[in-house]
Amino acid sequence: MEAMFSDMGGALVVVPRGHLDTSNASEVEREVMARIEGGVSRVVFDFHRTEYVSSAGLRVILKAAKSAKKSGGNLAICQANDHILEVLEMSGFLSAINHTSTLDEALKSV
Amino acid sequence: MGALIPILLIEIISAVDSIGTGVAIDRMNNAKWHRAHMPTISRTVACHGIGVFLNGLTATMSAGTSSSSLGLAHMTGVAARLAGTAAGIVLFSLAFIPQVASFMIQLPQPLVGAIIIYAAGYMIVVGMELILSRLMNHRRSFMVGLSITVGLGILVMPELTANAPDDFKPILSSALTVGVITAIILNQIFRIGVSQTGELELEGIGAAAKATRFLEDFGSSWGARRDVISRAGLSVGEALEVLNGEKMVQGPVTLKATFDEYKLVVELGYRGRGLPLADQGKMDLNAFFEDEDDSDAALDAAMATMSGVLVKNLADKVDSREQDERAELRLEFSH
Repeated sequence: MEAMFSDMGGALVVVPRGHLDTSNASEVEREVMARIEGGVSRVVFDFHRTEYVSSAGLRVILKAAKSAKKSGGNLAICQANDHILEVLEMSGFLSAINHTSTLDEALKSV
Repeated sequence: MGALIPILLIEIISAVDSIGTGVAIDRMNNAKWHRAHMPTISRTVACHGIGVFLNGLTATMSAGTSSSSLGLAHMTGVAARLAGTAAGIVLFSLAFIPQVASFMIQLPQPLVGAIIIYAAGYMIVVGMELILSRLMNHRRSFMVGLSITVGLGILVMPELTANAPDDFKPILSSALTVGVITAIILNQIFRIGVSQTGELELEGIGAAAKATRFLEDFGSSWGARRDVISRAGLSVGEALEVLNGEKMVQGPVTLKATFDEYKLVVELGYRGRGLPLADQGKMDLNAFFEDEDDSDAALDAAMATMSGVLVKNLADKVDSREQDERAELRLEFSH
């Protein structure tokens, strides 16, 4: 799968590689939702290895964010490049989802 | 009359230097700088010409623009027209006081050296930024590398031009001019065979990635701005995702990209329905999170117009048409 999943202090850290679009969105969604249903409520999407995120990728983030909040946790995004930030900004995601420049800050915010 | 040609050649070299200074000062003053502003460059060269004409009338050495002053302007952050005019008046006045000129000549060499080193460092960085603001490919890398090498070769080994005809020596012994001429000639040669229009047929999974790679390759051949090609790749990728995902396309999609220095136009032609581009603002995520309904249907409804929003916002102009079962999406990006 073109994404890595790891547990950091009880939080799920998702690192999509290259892109988060229709080619890998359903797989990432399945894995993230399975972990949330398994009890994880703190999720971080770390985009330091991601070049772009399409609307299919935004859908995964939105679904994971809603589920995480419902479970009493939260979702944050970190280390997004300028293009991803632009997409997040124009879609309105940055108004409700926290973006930080480092993974540590993102982990502290969820 | 015999002296006219060498002087003319020297002044052409000096004008090339002025153009470089004009580009650098224009870039320093404009945060949204994209390319050389030709009216500014034209005024710079005109001023240079007037100055040289006055030098001729007063039988003095010809003057030119000062690259080291450019570094000083950058270092101090002072690049206002008023400051420049005031400095010009002061320098003009000082020209009538020879004692001041004598004082200036006696400035300590380490001080002059420090200013020149800073200015040179600044100009190198500005030059590199200018070069790398455009996408590079093998041809363009070779053009830049060879031009710099040839220019440096003249500086390091001046004996290279020792046997050149006397009339051409002023040009051939100038590293700047030889480097610039090499770059201009190579640029023209490497444009041969590079089409301003590219076409690609896309179908199935991976169409978005294939389109992005195609735009990057052609952008490199054109020397297009990196950020414009990235935006075009994102916008086209998003459009292809929604067209294929929503089964709006029957058969392959033809991507046609046309580039000139001022815009990039990408047209997607296909059999099927046109991409809806309703005016839609940002999503209200807080309302979505507060909504009790967490079904996929509610999520899909919230995301329904997202692709249209992204495609529309990433491009500078978007037009979606549909006629006789054929549809076309036209995306225009300012360059």
